[in-house]
Parts: sequence; structure tokens; C-alpha cells
Amino acid sequence: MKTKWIGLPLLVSLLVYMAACDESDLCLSGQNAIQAGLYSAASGEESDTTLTGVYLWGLEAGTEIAKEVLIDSANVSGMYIPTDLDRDTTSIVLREKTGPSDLRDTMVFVYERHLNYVSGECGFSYNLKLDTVLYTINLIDSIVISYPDVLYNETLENVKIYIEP
Amino acid sequence: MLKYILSLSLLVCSLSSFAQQGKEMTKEEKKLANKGNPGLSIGIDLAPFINHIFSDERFGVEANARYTINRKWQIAAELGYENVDLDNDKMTYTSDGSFIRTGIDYNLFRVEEIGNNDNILLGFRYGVAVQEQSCPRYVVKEDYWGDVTNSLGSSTVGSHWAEFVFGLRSEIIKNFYMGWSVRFRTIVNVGTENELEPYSIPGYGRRDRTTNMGFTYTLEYHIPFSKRK
Repeated sequence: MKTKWIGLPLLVSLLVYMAACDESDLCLSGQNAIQAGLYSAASGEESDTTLTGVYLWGLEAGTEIAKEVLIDSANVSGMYIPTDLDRDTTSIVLREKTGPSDLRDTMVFVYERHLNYVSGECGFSYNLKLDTVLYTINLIDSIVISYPDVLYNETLENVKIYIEP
Repeated sequence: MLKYILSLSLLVCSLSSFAQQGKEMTKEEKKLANKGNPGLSIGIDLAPFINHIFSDERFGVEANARYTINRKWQIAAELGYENVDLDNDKMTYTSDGSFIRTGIDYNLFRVEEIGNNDNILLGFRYGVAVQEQSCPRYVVKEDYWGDVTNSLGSSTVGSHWAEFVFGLRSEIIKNFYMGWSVRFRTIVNVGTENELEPYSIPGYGRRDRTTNMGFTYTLEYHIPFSKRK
């Protein structure tokens, strides 16, 4: 028996297999967005709610200039809020405009940023740890941080936004 | 992974059955055949060159030494260097590092044929690598607020890992051996000085996996310690 004759075909197949395994994994986008759910503050019990005619946009840090609209007159029960990765705070305006009313609130998310290496193909992301949410109370009743970690490849609700009845 | 284990198990079974075939030998011939070929082998690994074809950002060289104690046991050491230059839209990364792997191999192949020094090897290695790395540019994509571009300075990383080896080794001409092995590697520890994780650890492979498969394809020259009869 000569092992060299048996070995060669296996080696070739292994090479092909390993080359296939080395293909890059799928890179995920929008992984630094805070996931928020809308809830009714009408009763003591927690229940989902949907707002109609919702607009959402960010405010440039320092200048408070409004950026382009993220959500434009939509019915929403939850939202992904992108975060400014150059800073430790992100300011967002939530507006509900329906026939009889036009209410708006500003939310300021305060967080810590931690650089996270993903892979050579996908590069880096930032993992965030939510510290505080500051907000005005025209439309919003209160905001609770339910899960402070915003992590790559994880989609859990981070904040609960309770809406005034 | 299961595919690997299954195919390797089948191969071992088939080789073992092959090994049991052959003519009846005298007691003296059996003793001679079982003595093995004690000595020191030195060689090079061609796998880094093959790897370079599939991952052109990585380039390495590797040499090995093997001390054959007897027909069953061998002590192995592998020494190498790897350079990585990665440049894509997400990051620029460079690394230079060296590694050593040491361990033992057990020869499963039992053949009663004088002059047949082929090996079917099962073994274990412990690997250590030291590398200098830096990331002059990385970009974190953020569509709404704008991308963040930054850099991470140079850092030294020490890594440890363990690996299990299965391989075949055959004497193609007198004292020249050709062999290949597949390796199942698992990280023991990676000591980084900052947020920069190694893209690739010399001798281990891609760092974004806690376990890795690897292979070697070696050419060795054997210096026998006793004259063959």
C-alpha cells in the first residue's frame, strides 16, 4: 500500500472545500440603530400602540439643524433610530400630524460607544450601551430603556416609548 | 465539520484494512519491518503558497522538523512567518508575525513490509504566535448620520491555540517524504492591547472564527539515525 496514491484525490477535494469555506460572511448594515417600540400610557397595563401620520428626523449636533426625514407620514408601532457614531448623543424629533393635532417631541439618546471588530470583510461596527434618554412631553408620556445594549447581529427592543392617551 | 470527520474516519478504516493484507513474514522480517525509520526530518510546507492563491492578502512561509522516535511515535515542530496586507472599503490592515507549533504524532499505519515507511498520523500541536499589527484606516458605515473613519495604532498580539492533526506521509524516493495533514484548530487565548483584533493569526488563520480548519502539504528530507538493512 502506498499512501501517496490514496492521499492525492482527498487533498484536492480538501483544498476545494477549504477554499469554499473561506468565502466571506454576509455583512449586516444598520447595526447601530436603537430599536424602539410604541406603547400606550392609557392604562397601567402595557399594550402596543400605533401612531398615524408620524414624521421622524434627526437634529445635527450643535447646530440643531434638521436633517432629512427618516419616516415621512407613516403609521408606525415601532422604529429603528440610527445613531450618530461620531458622538455620544443622538437627537431625534418625533412628530405626529393628524387632522386635529400636530404634536412633536425631541428625544436625546445618550450612550457609550465601543468599537467592535466584526471581520476582515465587514470591518468594524460600534456596539452601544444606552445610558439615558432625555425627552420633551407633548406627545410622549415617558421613555424607558428596556435593554441598553445595541449590539451587532442582535435585534432586541431597546426602548419603550409610552404615548400620552 | 461532520463531513470532514466522516470522510476521515472512512479513510482510516480503508487504510487499516489495506495494511492488513500481505504475505506471511518470518519473525526476523517482522521485527525489522516494525522497527520503523528513526531519524530527523526537515522540510518545508507548501500550503502557505497554495493559501496565497485563495487569499492574496496573506503570504507566509513555513518550515518543519520531525524526530521519528520509533514506528509509532514522532515529535514535530513547525516554525513560520506570515505577512498580511488587507485593503478594502471597510479597512486597511497590516500584520507581521511569527509562530511555532510543537507536538507529537502517533502513527496508525501497521504494515509488515520491509522498507515501507509510510505513515498515517494522528497528532496534537500547541501553537504560539506573536505579531505586530496596525489598522491605518477603518470605516464604520452609517447611512443617515454619515460614515465614521478612524485608525488604530500599532499593537503587539500574542496568541495561543491547540490543534488536532490527521495526516498521511509517504516516502516517495529514498529519504524524501511527501505528506499532507488536515488540522482542526481552536483558540486558547488572544492577548490584544487595544480594540484591534487580529484579522489573521500567523499559523492559525482567520481570527474571526474561534475554530479553524487548516492543512499542510509538506516535503521533507529524512536523515536516518541507523543504517538501513
